[in-house]
Amino acid sequence: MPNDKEMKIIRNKLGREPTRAEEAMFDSMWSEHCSYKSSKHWFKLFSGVTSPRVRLGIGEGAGLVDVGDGQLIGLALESHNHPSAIDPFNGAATGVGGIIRDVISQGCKPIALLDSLRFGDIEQSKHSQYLLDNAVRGISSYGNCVGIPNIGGDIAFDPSYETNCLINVMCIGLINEEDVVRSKAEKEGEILILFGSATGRDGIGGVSFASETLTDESDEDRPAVQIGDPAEEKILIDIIEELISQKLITGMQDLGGGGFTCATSEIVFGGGKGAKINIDKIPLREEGMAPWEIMISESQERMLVVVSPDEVDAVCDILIKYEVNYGIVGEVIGEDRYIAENSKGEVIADLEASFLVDGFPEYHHPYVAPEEFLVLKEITRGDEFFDRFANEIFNSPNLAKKNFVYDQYDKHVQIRTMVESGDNAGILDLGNKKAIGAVLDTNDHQVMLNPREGTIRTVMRNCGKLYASGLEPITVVDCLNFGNPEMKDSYWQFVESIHGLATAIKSYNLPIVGGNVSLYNESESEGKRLRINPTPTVGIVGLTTDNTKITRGKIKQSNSKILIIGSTGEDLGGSEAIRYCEKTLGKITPSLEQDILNAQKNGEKVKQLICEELVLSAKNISRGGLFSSLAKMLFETEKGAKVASHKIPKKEGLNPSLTALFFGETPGRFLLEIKPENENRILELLGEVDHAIIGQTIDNSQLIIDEKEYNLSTLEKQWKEAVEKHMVI
Amino acid sequence: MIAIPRFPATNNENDALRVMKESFKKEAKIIPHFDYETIFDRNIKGIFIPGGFSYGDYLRTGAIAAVSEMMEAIKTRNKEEGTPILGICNGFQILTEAGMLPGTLLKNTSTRFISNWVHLKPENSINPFTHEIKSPLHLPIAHYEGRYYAEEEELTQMREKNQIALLYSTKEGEIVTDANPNGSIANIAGISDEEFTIFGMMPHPERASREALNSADGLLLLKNFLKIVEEK
Repeated sequence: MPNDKEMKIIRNKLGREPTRAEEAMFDSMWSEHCSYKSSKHWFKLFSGVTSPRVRLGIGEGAGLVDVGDGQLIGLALESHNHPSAIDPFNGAATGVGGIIRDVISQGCKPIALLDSLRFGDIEQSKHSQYLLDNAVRGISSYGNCVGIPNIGGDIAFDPSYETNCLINVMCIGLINEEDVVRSKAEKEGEILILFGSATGRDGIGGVSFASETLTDESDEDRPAVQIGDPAEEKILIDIIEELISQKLITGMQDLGGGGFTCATSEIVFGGGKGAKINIDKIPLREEGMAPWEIMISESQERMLVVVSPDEVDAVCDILIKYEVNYGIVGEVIGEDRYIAENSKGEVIADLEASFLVDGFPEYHHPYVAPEEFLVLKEITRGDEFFDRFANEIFNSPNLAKKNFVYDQYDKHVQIRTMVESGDNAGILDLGNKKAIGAVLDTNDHQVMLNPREGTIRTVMRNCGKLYASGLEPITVVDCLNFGNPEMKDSYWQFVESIHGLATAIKSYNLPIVGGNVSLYNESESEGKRLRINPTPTVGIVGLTTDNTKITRGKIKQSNSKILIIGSTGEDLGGSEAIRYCEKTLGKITPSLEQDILNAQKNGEKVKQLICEELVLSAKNISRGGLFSSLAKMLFETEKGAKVASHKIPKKEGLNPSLTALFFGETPGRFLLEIKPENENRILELLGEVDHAIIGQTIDNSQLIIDEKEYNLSTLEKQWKEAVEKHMVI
Repeated sequence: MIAIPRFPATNNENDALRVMKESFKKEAKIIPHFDYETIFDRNIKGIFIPGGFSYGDYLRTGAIAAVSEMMEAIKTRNKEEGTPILGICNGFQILTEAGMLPGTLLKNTSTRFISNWVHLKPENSINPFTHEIKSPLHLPIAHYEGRYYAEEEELTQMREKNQIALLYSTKEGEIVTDANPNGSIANIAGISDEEFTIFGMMPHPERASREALNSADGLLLLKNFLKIVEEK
């Protein structure tokens, strides 16, 4: 329910007590999930970054970005964390369903999904194994049935997610510019038609449930979890295609968080109008539903369209043909009012539409750095740690091959997939030699150590993956998963991370076109406070106009040269090796402005070399450092490599140990496999950029570093089994 | 013209259409389930039942589509005129459920959905659907219920009549358990009816139709289907 302060504002405005339905509507619309009341004012930090490609920024279902040839891509990213913690299968499945509808509500065809998942420690926790297994089954059952390929994302584990798992799903859509539909009702007298599944009691109050912390009693909130029907969603897509091709609708919005109330009020508010609703026209699947339940139910697979009175019959004919439920639920009115009545004329709600959508108070919560942040200590490890890290690191589930998960998602439907999940970036062929690639990831341990720096590094890393594929990063969507904003230290993490994101996108000149905020990812169990690592999930899309020049992250042949781009510092803090092998994290050093610029310049160079067809394979050096990135390039290729540590370029004034050189995670570095005959040409092109040839590929499956030899098939076995061995359920 | 029937929640119809039009320059048309009478259009010479989750795979995969008016129409055309039918993935499941192909498709032994690449060895060159295909093909699979099963007696008959056309194999063409992704009996991936007018397979030839998709091997199978359509 709205808090006391908000109730006071509501009473003052209405001059009376709100009705039961109105109170429920405010509860939904003014929840953090719908209103962004604790976060919205920070978004102005993103507003300085613009691009002529952006056709529609933050605000509606999906951001729209021009990719040339009259085509736009639609992008949306959202969390479905709270429902998935209670019911992982349905929570994750409906998370997929919701994000698809966000994209189709702009008229787009959904062409790809990615998901970023976080669970507790699956090496120890049976509960996390159960959550992973079922969330993946949920995602698989929904996305596969709708027929959308899953092209990537990431999965990682940390005890902080034990009671608050994260399910962040990104959807990419494709549309011809002239077919775009907006979520606005701009003409008085136009008709609102609701269609799709009938409305039931599932998901009642879902958004307010998502806007509070989970407790030991949260299992009783099961009715707040929605149940999905992916077959219905595919039918909605077919219907919308027909409605758009016949130009029968003037506006559209999906029913997501906040249900009917949110969709109808936002769409008329967006057009500067009001609405008159007859709630008895909403098709119901349960008897005896109270008006307030109908108004805020989050039953899935429902769409709202705005139709000119002349086209109502034509629209209804199509809905009848497809045998879906529908109702002519209201009309657009000229004044700023939202009136909901039943057929008898009894008033359910009557208030200003703008007040309902936008009348909430904004919250500027106080924030302060947590004590543990102030006492973090630098971490270094000498050469003597190298061997143990090398032998242990591929047991880490965070580095593991995740095909156990990815193989459950349809990767090839819609016949555009050029590069599948598991490589640098998932890449789709858009025809006319054009391709887009997408990455969805976050560096949550580094964000935990330093939210600002960790977020910057997340952007650097994700752009690095696109550069290593030969793509130009063009746009960003974000999903900010944090703890309770009413707690000073949690809110500090959020604010710092937002600043980091703003810094990074400015530096890379990447506009943010969509996303969401998921706060309250904290829980209490037996009086103990459990908060997630701050997790700003960043989705970045890249583009190339020549998809014949895409590069992958797998070594192609023996006797190639191995080139490193970028210099290495003392960056063991927050690294996977330190976390997994030493069970600690240390501290991370903030990047200087110049470091971010260098990382970008390095990436641009890599892309240039790829475009000139001088690169056999490439990978950005990220989680697990140089050792892990090189090993991953070699896994499943039957090739090996021999490298000399003294050749690795070091950051000025630093002399990192062998361990730091190979396991540190200095951002902005790349590994490239090149043909020996291209070496001179490449070195010439690299010019000022830090680089060195550090070794070559060999014909047997060994990774040789100076005098040390590692059997790649042993490491590969660890890598393949690190997640799967915990999933024998 | 090739008809591509679309049931509610079929989801590979556009892929089938694209490959027919772009790769083979064939006229093709998606026919929604409520337009089932269009199946009797004289211009339709072949029917390509694409993959997906017809009717949400509720009850049992393919079961509801199998008794739909659309399948009745398709069955009639095949029975009366021998109109060739190709069923991919869910299309194959529907054809077995409708009794138009022998055997059945059960849940994968892993009890999970599998999306991956497989190699397929053409079992014999008499079956026109795999005619002249010599080396193993590289194709994607994507299914939850792809484990082919038929009784031993039925399998023997199918072998005698050259109905078993495609087997899961290694890259080199060996028929071994390790190459079997879903537990199908005798590594069976694709079969035809006795008259060689109906063919069903779990792997997706339309998804291996351009080099950009990492294989164009599927075109060989689709070419054979279109040849059968033409010669009819």
